[in-house]
Amino acid sequence: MSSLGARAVSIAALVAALLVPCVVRAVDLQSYDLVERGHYLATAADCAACHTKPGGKPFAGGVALETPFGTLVGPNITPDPDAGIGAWTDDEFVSALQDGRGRGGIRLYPAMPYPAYTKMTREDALAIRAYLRTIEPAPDKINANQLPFPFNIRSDMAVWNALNFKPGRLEPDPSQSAEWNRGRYLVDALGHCGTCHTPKTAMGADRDSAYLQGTTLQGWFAPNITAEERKGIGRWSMDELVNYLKTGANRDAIASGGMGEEVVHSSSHMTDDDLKAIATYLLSLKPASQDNSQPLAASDARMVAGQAIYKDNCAGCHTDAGTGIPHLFPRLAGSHSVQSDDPTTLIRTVLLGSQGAATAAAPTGPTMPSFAWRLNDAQVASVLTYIRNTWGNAASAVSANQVVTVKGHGKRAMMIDLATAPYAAFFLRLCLGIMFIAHALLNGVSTLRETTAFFRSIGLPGWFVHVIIAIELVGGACLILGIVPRYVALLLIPEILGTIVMVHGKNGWLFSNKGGGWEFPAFWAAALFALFLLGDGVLTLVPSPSLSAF
Amino acid sequence: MATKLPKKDVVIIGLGWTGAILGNELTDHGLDVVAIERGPWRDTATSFNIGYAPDELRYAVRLDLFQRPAQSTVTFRNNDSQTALPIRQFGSFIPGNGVGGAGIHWNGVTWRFLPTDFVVRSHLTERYGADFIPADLSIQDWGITYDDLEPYYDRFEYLAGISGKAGNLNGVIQDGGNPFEGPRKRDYPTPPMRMTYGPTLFAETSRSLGYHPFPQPSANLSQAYTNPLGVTMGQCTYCGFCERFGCANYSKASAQTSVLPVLMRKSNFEARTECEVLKINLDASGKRATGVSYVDSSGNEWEQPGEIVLVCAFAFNNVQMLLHSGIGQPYDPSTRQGTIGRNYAYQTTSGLELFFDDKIFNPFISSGALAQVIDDFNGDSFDHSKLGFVGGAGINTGPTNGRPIQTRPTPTGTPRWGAKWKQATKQSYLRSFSLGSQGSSYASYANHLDLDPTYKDRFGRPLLRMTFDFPDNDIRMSNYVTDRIEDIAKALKPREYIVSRRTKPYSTVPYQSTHNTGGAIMGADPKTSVVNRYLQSWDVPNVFVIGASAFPQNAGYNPTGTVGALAFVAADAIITQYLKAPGPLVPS
Repeated sequence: MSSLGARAVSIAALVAALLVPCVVRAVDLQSYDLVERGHYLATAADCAACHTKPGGKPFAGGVALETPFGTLVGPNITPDPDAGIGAWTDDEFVSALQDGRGRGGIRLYPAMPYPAYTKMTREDALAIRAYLRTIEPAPDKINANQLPFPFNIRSDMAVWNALNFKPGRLEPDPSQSAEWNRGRYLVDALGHCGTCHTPKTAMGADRDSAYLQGTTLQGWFAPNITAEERKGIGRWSMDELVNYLKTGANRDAIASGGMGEEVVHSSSHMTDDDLKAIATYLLSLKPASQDNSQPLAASDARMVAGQAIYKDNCAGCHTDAGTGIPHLFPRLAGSHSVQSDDPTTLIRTVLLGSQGAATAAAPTGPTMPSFAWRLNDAQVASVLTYIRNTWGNAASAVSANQVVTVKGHGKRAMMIDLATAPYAAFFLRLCLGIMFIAHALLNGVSTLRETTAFFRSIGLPGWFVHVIIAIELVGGACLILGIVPRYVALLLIPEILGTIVMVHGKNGWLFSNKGGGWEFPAFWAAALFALFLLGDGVLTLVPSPSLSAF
Repeated sequence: MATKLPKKDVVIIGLGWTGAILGNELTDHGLDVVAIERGPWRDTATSFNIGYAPDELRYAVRLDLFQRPAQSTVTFRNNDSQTALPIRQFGSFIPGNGVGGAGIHWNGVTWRFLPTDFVVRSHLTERYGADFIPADLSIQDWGITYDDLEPYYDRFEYLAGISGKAGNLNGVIQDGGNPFEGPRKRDYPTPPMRMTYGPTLFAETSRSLGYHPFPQPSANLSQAYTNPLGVTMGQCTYCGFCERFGCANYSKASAQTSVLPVLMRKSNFEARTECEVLKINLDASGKRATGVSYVDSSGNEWEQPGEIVLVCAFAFNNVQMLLHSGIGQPYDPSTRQGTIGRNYAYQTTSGLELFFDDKIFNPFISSGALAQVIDDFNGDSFDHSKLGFVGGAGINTGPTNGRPIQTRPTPTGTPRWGAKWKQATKQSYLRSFSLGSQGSSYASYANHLDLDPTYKDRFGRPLLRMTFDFPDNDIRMSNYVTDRIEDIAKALKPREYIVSRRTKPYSTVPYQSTHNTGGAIMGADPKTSVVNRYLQSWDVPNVFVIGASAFPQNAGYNPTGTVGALAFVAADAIITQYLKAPGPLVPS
């Protein structure tokens, strides 16, 4: 190419390069089409769920999210230049959605679901930006990062992203219909359903192998929304699923909790076509394996108890046959919520009650009252076990421990069976108390002369044997009768340790050694310490004061 | 000093059935509406949930949901030769309290009045002659006809989901319904309730006597129902905790189950609870309301301006509001001048308890409106010419419940307490059954409401004074109908029965009915009525007064169906006529 020709090409290239951004900037950012599209997409992506406080200014932030790592608060995304994102460039906005990086490269936490939004197209992200630009600026300054150390160090996310996040758009699957692909885009990219419905790894990332199969968050179990028949939405027709998303209710179920909010703020405002696309996609997610669950026998003690409790408390609304009333009382027979492996939502609903979503199409908003005041943990467990295994339902039994866990907001796994622990302490008290008294009588009282002589032989005064006998008799009696038993147990430890120091320590470890090794008294001292930690148990004459008093 | 609030298009006093219906209709039309309710907010799951709603001691005996006399009561006397005294414990009638009003605790019996009831004076005059009507009765025509009201009855019935069987469809008498009722355009929205043994037995027996039994129209729904507003209601479970109780499973129609879920979501509607309206404020001319003054639960006074004021409180509270506001001329029985407080009426009831040895009635399976009724002796559906009274009563079956504290049927001669009493109630509980009459209460010139000269409420306003006794006419009517009940009772062949007739003087102590009507009656003539056919005040055209206060006299039926219909009449008139041309809708 001649140098003139080369020049012409470079000038042409330069002009073209200049023209391209000019063409982009020529788009009217306040164009009705663009803003309306952005409004719809922001609704589908439910930005308001985290960025609009109930009753607060639109997108001014302030919604607290309880994550397993601590609290994060949705920031102000109004166009305010200081408190909001008014000063951000388009690229910075898109980067926030697609890469999890905000203005200045600040790393976002995946509570802002960029692992989902990364699948969104740039056009859609820019449309949302255009819409957000039309919102009234709010001066509310939000302190978004309220995580505890060390999670509050944002650059931690570099590691997390390296391990768990791969930015990238969703590529349509050419083997599937346009409707299916649209559905997948709505579910994965915009609706970010997996953020609530896909189980998480220990690091808080989506466990893709269990995609949309349900997980617990913020005290609710967001159920399996694949097409599994028993535990998922496989029994629902397309119409039932669309009705649920559109109105908050279908023939069987009524949305509540987080899903209720989703319906009211997001899916009830989406087009029928989009809802059908979502339904097409979700109902195509057939399970890999057959479900072979068998229900618990009706004669099981928990089922018998549960049936009686159900009749008294639940049948008035949910009916004896578990059918409920459409749009009023959810159907329990065949319900996937009821048969979910994780009973958190069920337990929570019985303990706290729940209000169904109300939309213009289904305005009733019926409410189930709390039953915590009249059902104890075992009763809640029994009645839930009953409904999970009757009318063709089959699911694991619910234990009183699980109820207690939910009551404790699931913050700690239940490491002790509180139903039986008090009896354990009592049993331990009896055993240890009897042992002390038996030893005092057999080793002391009935062999007083020999024992006195033995004490002298190891350098202790003869009268000391009476002290030991007294300690063991009184201590043992206190343990059996329950007179401040946990502290008596603690105080008896030095006496036992004394026997190791003075006698058994030099006999070796094994209890079967000549003279008795220190294995046995060591274990005895350990048992006393365990009793101290455990507490008094049942049947105490004089209960111990609380440990916190010290 | 009262703080003045921004103006609203409509101020509604009281958020019960009528307040909710009017609030919903007018907000649909785009108006900005505030309802000011004296009592607390009430909602099904929080106020009467299934866990503790069936508590007889709390609700039926200690009246947990009802008005406290200390907050508001009336003084009572039988006639003006007596001095009225405050009712310190409600007995004969028990006013409701809170959002939903009496619609929360009612039994759910929902009637239409007969066509002749609306034109009672002209009809009776035509049939029997003017002299036939006792001179002490002040009964008069309503100013509207049954045919005018029919579409509004229909709207209320479909709003509430009333369960029943039509007896007269467009003039054609239907088998299984009430052959005496006025013609209706279409059947009830849900079918009749399933009948238990007692009502079934009564129906068979009364049919054999030539009468025409039919299932009582009921707001305890026979099946789940979604009303025209999109609100879903449940199916009655026959738990027998109806009147005096809130319904825990959304199956007894009320403002809560039928209207409020839609109304409370509207941005142009606001409800203020625990706020008591003191009076309606008028401008200098006294012919235009400017709004209301009210006091909140902290004692702060507020002025709420409004273009239209709707008085939607309980019947006699409506009358009291007009008197406190200086609207209209108070009625003076000695001169028969004035209109506010005129034609106060009640309900004339009687009962008959039957005891059997060989029949089990399972009274605990029941519902507030579950009954069979014969209307053969109601209104003017039978020839009165030789009987010497006017009016009539429906004969119905009871009981509505078998609750353990208050259901203690005892045959004659049973001691009032002790071992023998326990034995008798134990023996009789399952084996007794009762019948009753719900009779007309014809207004008289003497029975009226006004302001008490002595007793005042906590704001210094005079209490409402109630002067009432049963007219002799009504006693004669009640005795006649009770004789007819006795005929049926005999045919049922019980071991024995006890008749409880209505006698004078009326006492406010034993419970009878909370169907207090009149005092702000509707009519065609402003000299003898307080509101016109659209429930609009003759005196202050931007005030409408809706409730049983509008009944010129009470018919032989429970009032709520008619009250609901009148609420729709007023809503319709405001939307289609008043808003286009504010002012009197009927020339006076």
